[in-house]
Amino acid sequence: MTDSTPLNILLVDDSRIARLTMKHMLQSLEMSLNLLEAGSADEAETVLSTEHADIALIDFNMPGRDGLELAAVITERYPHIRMALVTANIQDALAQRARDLGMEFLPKPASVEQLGAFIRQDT
Amino acid sequence: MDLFSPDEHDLIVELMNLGVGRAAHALSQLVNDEVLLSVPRLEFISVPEAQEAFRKDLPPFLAGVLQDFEGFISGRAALLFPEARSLELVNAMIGEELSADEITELEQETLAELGNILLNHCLATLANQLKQQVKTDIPRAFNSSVSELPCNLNLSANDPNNTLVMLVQIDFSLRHSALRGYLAFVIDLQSADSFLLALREYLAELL
Amino acid sequence: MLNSSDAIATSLDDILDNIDCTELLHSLDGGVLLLDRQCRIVFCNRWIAQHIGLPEKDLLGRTLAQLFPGMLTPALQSAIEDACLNRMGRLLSYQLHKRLLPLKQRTAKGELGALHQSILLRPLTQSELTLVQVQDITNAVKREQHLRASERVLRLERKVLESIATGDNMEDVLAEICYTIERLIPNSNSAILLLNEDGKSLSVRSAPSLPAQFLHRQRGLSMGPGGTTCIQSIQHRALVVSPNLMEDEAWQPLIEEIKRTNISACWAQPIIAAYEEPLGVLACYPQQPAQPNETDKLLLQRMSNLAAITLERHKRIERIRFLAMHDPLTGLPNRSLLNELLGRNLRRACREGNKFALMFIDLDGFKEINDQHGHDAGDDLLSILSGRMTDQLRGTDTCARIGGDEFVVMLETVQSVQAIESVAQKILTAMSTPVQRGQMQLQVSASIGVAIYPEDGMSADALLTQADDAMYKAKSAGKNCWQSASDLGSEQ
Repeated sequence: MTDSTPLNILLVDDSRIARLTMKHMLQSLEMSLNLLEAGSADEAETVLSTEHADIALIDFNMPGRDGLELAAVITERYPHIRMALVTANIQDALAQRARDLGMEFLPKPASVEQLGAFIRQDT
Repeated sequence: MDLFSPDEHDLIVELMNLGVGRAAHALSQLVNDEVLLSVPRLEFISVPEAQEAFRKDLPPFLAGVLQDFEGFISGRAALLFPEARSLELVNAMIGEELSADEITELEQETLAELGNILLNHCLATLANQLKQQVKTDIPRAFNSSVSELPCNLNLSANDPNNTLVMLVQIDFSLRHSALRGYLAFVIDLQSADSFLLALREYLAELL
Repeated sequence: MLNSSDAIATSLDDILDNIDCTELLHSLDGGVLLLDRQCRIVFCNRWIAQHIGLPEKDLLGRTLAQLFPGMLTPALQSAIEDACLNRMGRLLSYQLHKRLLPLKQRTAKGELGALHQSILLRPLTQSELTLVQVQDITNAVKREQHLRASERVLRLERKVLESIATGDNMEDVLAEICYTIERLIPNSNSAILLLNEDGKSLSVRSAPSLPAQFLHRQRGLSMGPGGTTCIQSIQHRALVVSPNLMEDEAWQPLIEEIKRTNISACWAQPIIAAYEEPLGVLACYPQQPAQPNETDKLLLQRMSNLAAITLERHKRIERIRFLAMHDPLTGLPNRSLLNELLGRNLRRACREGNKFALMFIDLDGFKEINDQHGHDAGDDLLSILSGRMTDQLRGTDTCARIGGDEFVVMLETVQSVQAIESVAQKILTAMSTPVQRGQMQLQVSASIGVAIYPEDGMSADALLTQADDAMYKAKSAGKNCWQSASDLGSEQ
């Protein structure tokens, strides 16, 4: 991955503060990243219909459709997007359902190291 | 109540989500099964509003768990359920079939621990993320009619102008049970100042 | 001047000020510990020392994790740290933590038993210390177990009554009875054995938690002196207990079996219906040698009553079903059952490409017997002849009575016309052999019409019509003979 082509990262979280926190951490990675934001599963689909994304970081617990429901749609329509479920609910059963959808599972709040590893594909 | 800005409100919701998520994890380890808890709604209301809201939203008889807390915020926290369904929750937790109509001593104790885990995780997450301290007392399970609830929550003992109620609606889903409960945090407004300060400091780093 | 309530308050303050708190804590019937921020014990009351089994001086300055290395669950360990370090009050309830501190206590019988407990961890406001309260809730656990047990029995009783009302499956109810016993008498297996029709042997009817071979092996336990526990319970009409099967002479032939099934004792409660009629045995097989206590005995009694109700009801339903499908005089299948069996056999013959035969049999001269000797004589004759008729058939064949003196025989499969002929001949002989009734000899004969699947018809109706027509051919050919529906056989 060269620095000249920035990675497009879609943040999906109903909390603006959670997105801000995530942005802060991503910025501290000092990588060339282009951030897209959505406050719900519906919004995420709208964003993806016009914008290109390489990676999606998705909150689990959101009003309306939850993160896994969104992930199922993305897997089908945009199979190239790598996804991680970011949630404070770190139960094995949930982690397993995320992995079954081919997602990474990151505890919330994720550490900068965990985020970096996922984005650099070190995981 | 416009005590908190939208960002501050959003931050509290997010911290509650974190706390509840961790509580769900802790509970799922105890019961060896998936526990889903969600926080769909949070509101700050005054004491008279709270009394009105309880009368309107809550069933006439409640079971719940009380826990006092003290630190950067002080007050009394409660987990509230419709009385009959609290038993359902306890039975789903311990994997027993529904027992008698009356909640037994052991079930009362289990409910108390359930509330203990939830309330501790919420309060500890608030405190830790905001780099603050909070201390909690031991939990107490109780049954009450909705009219006695303000008394149980210590609402009337405090100066109503100096008290703020944070009401959180929470959905439980475990094993074959799905039910809705409420978390109520009755916060002493004198401590709400330090709460606000902590929230603003946290946001200042972000924004 | 102080008024009286002030005086009481003052003296109460004095008293409270002078109470020795340490002595108070030591006298409590429950454990009290004080932990410092490093989770070390700075105080423990006498109860704790007693139940841990170490003197106070060995406990002070150490953490619970040091006292019980590797024995504290992660939940307890993290709760202690949460309370001591993070000042979070915690409750560890019995139901969510069956194992907390490894404390022991003597039971009434003097044995050392585990202590059921719940733990409260309370960070103190005035100091850095955390108060740990260990509550002995053994009695509450016992009460709870009793409550749950009696609820379960009540629920089961309701279920059995419901199944009586709705006609649920008997097997399910019997299995439920076994499960209930296994649940309420821990570490045991349960089975229901029924008395066979001979009234002399038992067969296992339900044993949902025992291996299939157990069901098989226990089939047909015979009555007799020195019979096993279950047989004895039927003979004595009372609970019979074999507390240790390894030392029980009657069980020696089954020793390999009981080792394999991991059962060590047998408590057999007879299942007795109304009028003292024994139906079977409810057996509980504890995995350790044991005697039942009063509660166990009561449970077995109640469960065997439920089993009796269930079995009696099942018998009654079976009886009603039998009556609906059989002719009450001869006990032979009636027309409805014949239709059912015929339909079944048709499908099977079609699937497997078999031949089968229907014989329509009408007695010759029966009306005269009825007219001359009365209906009782006619009825007796029919009973005897129907018995003779079934004697000529294989177990898989069917003989049905479909009218006054009309019978239909279905030969389930036939290989050749010769085989049919041989059966027809035997029936003709059996029917025409005189029947002795008191001083009188009664004699009839039979006319038989035969139809063969698939040659003479592919449907039940067609076959019955063909056989009926053939029977009339036999009547007009002079009676006491048989005729086949097809030309091939009519040469007879």
